[in-house]
Amino acid sequence: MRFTFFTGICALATLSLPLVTIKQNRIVSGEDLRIFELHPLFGVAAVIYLGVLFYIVLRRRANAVNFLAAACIFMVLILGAVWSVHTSLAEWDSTGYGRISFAGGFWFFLLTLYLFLSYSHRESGSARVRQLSIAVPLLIFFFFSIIGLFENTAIAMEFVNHQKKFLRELLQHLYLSLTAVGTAAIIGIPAGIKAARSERWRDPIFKIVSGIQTVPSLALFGLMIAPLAALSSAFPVLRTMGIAGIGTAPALIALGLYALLPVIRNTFTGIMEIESQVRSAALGMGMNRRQIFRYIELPLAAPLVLTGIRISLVQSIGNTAVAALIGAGGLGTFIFQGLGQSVPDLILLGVIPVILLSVLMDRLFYAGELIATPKGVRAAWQS
Amino acid sequence: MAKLIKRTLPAVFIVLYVLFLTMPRFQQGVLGFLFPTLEEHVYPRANLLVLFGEHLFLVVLSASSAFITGLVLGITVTRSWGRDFLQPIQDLTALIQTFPPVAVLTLAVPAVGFGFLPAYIALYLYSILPIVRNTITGLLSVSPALKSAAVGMGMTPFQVLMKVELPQAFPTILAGTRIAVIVNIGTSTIGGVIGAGGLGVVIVAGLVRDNVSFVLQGAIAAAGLAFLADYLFELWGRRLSVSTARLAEGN
Repeated sequence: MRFTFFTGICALATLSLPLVTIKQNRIVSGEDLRIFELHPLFGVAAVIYLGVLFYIVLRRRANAVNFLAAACIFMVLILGAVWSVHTSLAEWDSTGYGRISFAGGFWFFLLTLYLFLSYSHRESGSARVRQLSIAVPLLIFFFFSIIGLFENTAIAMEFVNHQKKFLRELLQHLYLSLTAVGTAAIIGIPAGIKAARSERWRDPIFKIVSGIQTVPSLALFGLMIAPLAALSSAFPVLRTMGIAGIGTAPALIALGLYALLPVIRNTFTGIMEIESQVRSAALGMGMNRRQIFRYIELPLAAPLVLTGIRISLVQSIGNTAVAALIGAGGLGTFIFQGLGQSVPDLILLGVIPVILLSVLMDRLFYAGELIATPKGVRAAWQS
Repeated sequence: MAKLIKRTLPAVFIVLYVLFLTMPRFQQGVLGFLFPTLEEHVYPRANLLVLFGEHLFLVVLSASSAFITGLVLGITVTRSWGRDFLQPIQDLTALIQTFPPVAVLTLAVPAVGFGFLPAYIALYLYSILPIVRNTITGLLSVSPALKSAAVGMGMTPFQVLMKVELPQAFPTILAGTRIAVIVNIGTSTIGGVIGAGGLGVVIVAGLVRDNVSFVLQGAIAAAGLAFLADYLFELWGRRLSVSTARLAEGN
């Protein structure tokens, strides 16, 4: 009841705070609009909606199904209201540069939606409801984006302005973070195995790599510049290979160094956590060291190693955004350009894809971990 | 001999770092030696020590307010009357933790504008996450037997919390705070770009003006601060584990 009541309060905040801000162009400050200011009918619908919602909550009638329904109706109400702004666009937008930005109420809308759906996800006993709680909201969202919910929104307009560049920077962003993490995995997995095998190496390896993680990312990028600039001016051959103080090379090195710790730590833990009986059993079956490594240690440690790579990748996607400051490109370019020109919408064009990319990669690798878990281990979890 | 070096190394590092921070002439000497061809070596528009102070102020303020919030939140969701929120808070923190700190920092600009305030809000919100997560983990891992023993001794729930649960969970909470502080120091370096001041200002100025010396000056100061904070937390954690070990032995 406390949780559902809190959800109701968030819905109330969504409906009473400004939902969108409309602006004549990208520079001027805009006019805030609440849902009942968009159209009186929306106001009536909102009041009825809140009444029903609080009736359900206070009467303790909340359950997975009616909260899922509440979430869907809420989506239709809010997204419909935002969409309706487009229809009245011509009234206030004389220049054609008019744009819609999302305001506080919209961010509360996303939080409320998350609370609704996580509640029905948690409380429902049936897999059907759980699947629906993901599928239906996605469908509603796609429906509204197809009929043009995001046209004339500030981010979409910035996207249209920078379309070609956006794709290039997105690919550059992916290239930088994936290459860095790939390299870190190639170095980090053997290093993690070494740390697990030899106690003498363990301490120095972890001291160095966790030391690197402590350095602020911007400082590490900065520290890369000096030696690389010196190198490329001493050996002009390097410059023809694209190695210079500023650009991709220092970014990749710094990102790769950052990505080492999670990979090494998880490889190490993965191997150390294998019980000694498992190893003894393999030895008793007549396996040699290499076979034990290939058929026992590697598969059992694989899920944890993948977790390490996932953590590295999520971290790298964030740090790559900073790499734009040393001229390495990527989505950070939009962020820092937006900061430099004081254009909030351009900042969002960089930030939101970075966040989506992190969450997406995180989920993707998480699924990969489940697949990589050996069948026997998975069966042991379930029992 | 090796042990002696190991013991004195942190002290030497701290002395050198303090000298670098406080004496512009020392900075000039080091950077001038490294980059003899450059004309300017030390960032002229502000004293490094002042920027260091701004940086530290931002980090300490955001981390300490996040510590209080995280602690209260963690305690709330582990009490019987707050259990409803335990799972949602855990899910939400896990989700937001995948957001890059830079993204959260720069997202604050469209919401609040430029300056100290957006940096403070972003850092404060972001550093609640590791603290609340570790508070929850720490409090949940206190053995139920220990708690019932405390209740059996006649302690009130508040006393159980203050005298049993929090002391038991403290090392874990401290580990979370350490993560928050280190991430904060790193992220607030980027705060230089959103007008929050701090050591990032020097690095960014160096990048903009293509002056490697400025970049290095700021990078050394920022990295040193992070190392110093990490080292202090390490010492604190070690002292805690020593005192609990003593307690376990009964001394």
